[in-house]
Amino acid sequence: MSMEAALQTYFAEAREMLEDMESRLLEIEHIDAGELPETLNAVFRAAHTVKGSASLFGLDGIVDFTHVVENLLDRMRDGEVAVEEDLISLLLRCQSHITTLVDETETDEQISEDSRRLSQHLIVELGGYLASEDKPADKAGLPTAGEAADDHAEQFPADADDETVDNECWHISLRFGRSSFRDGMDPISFLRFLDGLGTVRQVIILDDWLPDLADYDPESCYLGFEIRYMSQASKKEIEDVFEFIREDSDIHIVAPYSRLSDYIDLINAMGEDSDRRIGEMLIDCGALTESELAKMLAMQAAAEEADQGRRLGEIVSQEDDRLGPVVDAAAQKQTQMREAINRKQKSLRVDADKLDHLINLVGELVTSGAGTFLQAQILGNPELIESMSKLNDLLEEMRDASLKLRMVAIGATFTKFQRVVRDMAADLDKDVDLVITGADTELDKSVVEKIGDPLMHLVRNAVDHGLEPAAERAAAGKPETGTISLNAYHDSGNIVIEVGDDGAGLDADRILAKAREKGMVGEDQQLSRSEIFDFILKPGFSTASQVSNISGRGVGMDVVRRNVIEMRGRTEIDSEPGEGTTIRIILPLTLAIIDGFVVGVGQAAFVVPLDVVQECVEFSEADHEEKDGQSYINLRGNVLPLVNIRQRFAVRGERPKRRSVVVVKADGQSVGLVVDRLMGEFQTVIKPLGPVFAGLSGISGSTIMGNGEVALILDVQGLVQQITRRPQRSATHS
Amino acid sequence: MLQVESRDGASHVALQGELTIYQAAELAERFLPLLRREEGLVIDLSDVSDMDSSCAQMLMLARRHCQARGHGCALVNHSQPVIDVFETLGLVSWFGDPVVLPGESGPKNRPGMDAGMGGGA
Amino acid sequence: MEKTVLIVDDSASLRQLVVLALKGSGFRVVEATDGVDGLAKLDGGRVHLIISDVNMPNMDGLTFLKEVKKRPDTRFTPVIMLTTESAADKKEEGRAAGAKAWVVKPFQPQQMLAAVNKLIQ
Repeated sequence: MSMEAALQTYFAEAREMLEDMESRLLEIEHIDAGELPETLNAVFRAAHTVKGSASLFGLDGIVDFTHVVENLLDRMRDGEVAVEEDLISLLLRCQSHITTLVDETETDEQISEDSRRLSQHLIVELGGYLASEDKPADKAGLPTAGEAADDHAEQFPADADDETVDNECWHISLRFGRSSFRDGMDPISFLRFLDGLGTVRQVIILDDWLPDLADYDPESCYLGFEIRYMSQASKKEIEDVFEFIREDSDIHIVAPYSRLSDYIDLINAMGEDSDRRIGEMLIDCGALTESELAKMLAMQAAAEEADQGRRLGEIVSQEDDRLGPVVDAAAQKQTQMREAINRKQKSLRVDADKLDHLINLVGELVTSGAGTFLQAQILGNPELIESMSKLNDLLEEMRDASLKLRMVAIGATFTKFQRVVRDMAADLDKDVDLVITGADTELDKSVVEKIGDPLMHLVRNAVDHGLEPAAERAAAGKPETGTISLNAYHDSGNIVIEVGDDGAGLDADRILAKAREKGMVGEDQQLSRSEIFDFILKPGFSTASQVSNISGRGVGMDVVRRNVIEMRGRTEIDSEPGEGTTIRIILPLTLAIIDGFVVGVGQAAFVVPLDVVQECVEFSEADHEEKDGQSYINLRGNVLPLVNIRQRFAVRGERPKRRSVVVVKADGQSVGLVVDRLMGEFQTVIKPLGPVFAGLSGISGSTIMGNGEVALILDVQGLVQQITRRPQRSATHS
Repeated sequence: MLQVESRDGASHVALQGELTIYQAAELAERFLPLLRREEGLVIDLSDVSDMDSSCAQMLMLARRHCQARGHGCALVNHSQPVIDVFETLGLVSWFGDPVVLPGESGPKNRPGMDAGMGGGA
Repeated sequence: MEKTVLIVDDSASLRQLVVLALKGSGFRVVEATDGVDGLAKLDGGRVHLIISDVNMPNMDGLTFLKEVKKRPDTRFTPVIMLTTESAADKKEEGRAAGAKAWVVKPFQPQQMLAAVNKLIQ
């Protein structure tokens, strides 16, 4: 199981490396010569790490191919192979291919025949660059397509900066508390229990803390152990073995195939006098090899040096002279290592579930704080009110801060499109520049995950249909190179993402004609320009006269609209003939919190997302009429269909004399919600509904109110759709 | 608990019975003074019926104390319960004394041991 | 060697559960219904491990624990205290009295067996 987990980590890591590799490769064509070595180095490192780790897992297909790529990158880094556009294209194809190899290995546990063939094909192409150099000695470094598998081990010993330790065993460091014996906790028992859960491969007992005769207390425990342990158990299970001694003892567990830095953490965590001493223990019990220890000490020293500005050589030579030669080699890698370490220290990987749990708790804390504040006001104690209000301020700050934890920059998402645009432009024989602005705009992680697909559609569409062919552009007096722009910015609680092109613009007349032809709009109906543009995002509408193989993938632009609406966002389209089109996606900053408008029906409270609320009016029986089981009111001359919330959700209790109508608008359709009371605005943390209520239509979630009661959040979109779908006939002749 | 006999410039100690944390204080009181005799120590473990970490730890102290002073400190005739404990704690290699595993020659037949000692309890 | 576990709890079904969990794995289980009964069944230190509830009539678990930790023949015997999640303050008091091992009720027989095995194996 642990092996499986390690493999999962590898796949995630490899993808990250490959993404980095791609963006660096795309950079190469745009950077100054001075930055080239560093960028090439970064590309090399990415390939090198993907290969190095793959070899630990015996993923030969990935190793064999990536090895050749790495080889070429190494030569480029040394300036032996010149950087040129075709070569970068080839490397980008290789990058894509390695990604495919990783994907296939993960999903199918093997590499498809097609991919094998492509590997060989690409290796031959790569060979062209490697062989063209007049350096026969180096040619040995290029395996031919057939024999790639055999020779990588000797030539490329794994030496990534923070390499994975080749150790299939857990490593457990135990320092028993002094009172262990007196508490009835005997190390023997724990070691035997451990042996039942797996196999204790080696135990080293430590007498470092055993005092001299004079200070010795026979009933105190001075023992420590270093244990090499083979087990399929999870880390949690192993930790649980020590649950009863956890508080008084020092326990550290390092998983199989951990990184050197994990062992550094272990050493630091043990906080013992001599790092060297525990290092020796690690070697003695087989957790590390001598050279791994040397490398580790060097890394540690490099990290310290980064802190204190001391020189690596000095530190390590104090550690042990024996390590001299290895350390020299390590010292050369010092800069690289420091980078790796710095990167590690700057960010912290946290399980998204844990984060969501925290945010959920903080949300509840805020609501429960609001409830307490309410109580304080009822009690009327000024000191209490004052301190509660301070507490509430802090809680709100805390909520804002914790929501920020989920925020990520959109840059990485944008950067992906460089590749898309580049490939499409080549296919369509257009010259296209992609201009990215606002890459550091942050948005909620869940939004970033969902926005990729809609953006992809928009970008493809802009390149394909938005931009005219070069000849047409030239004829119109525009530069032949078209521009696609991606932009993101914050705008009053919303995040706005724009996809723009400087193409021909949308032809409003043609769109309107087509909409009429399809019966999507009445012959005499008057529409504003933006209403007309909206059609291009509606289902079943396509204006492209011929479907190209790029955008015409059977999935229309309506997918964009649907996805955006699912995120409680909306779209806007600006277009000027001859100047281009900008499609704007406007999304709420976070999906976890909405501004809600609370309404009451009977004893129940419902939350309507504030952004769909148009207005509130009093319900008057006089204006009310019913047709085909659907009720309406006349709102300033317009027919407004109603949803009676009391009936819709079968709320019990007596109907009050005065009721209100909340006018909401979704999908361009206004609907009135009939409720008993209007209770005002309320910031709401959305909690997903449990599985029991998942099928409940018209409800999108729940929230806890300040008074501790649960309120259901209305799915206005869903309610509106139910109305517009059902009474299509009656709506037209009313 | 223990029998002591001084002979040939060494203290011969036979530990006996249950040696656990409950006996640790008393054992320390009777056993540790032997370390101040400034002579070699031979500890016979053949009659130890049970031993826990606290008493194993005391043997570690004895070994370290003697070694620091240049005296020998030999553990001999490990009983099965002692072997089990030593193996679990990684003490077999820590002490480095020859341990006779079951199935080989009888545990009381170690060279250099006084055969009369074990049963003297 | 067969080890003896003393379970002190006023609930017969809980005692049964513990007996069920431990008997099959070669432990001898002695039952006591409260602290007073528990002290009577300590059997001069022949008990290797004690499992005790906190909330019991006659003598509650913490008083029982303190008494166990006072007696010379039981003071080093491991004690597993049974607790409900809500009794956090009791847990603090118990810790101070020397109870390091806590098992939260309700528990699976397997969990109890594991807890016992961690302490006396």
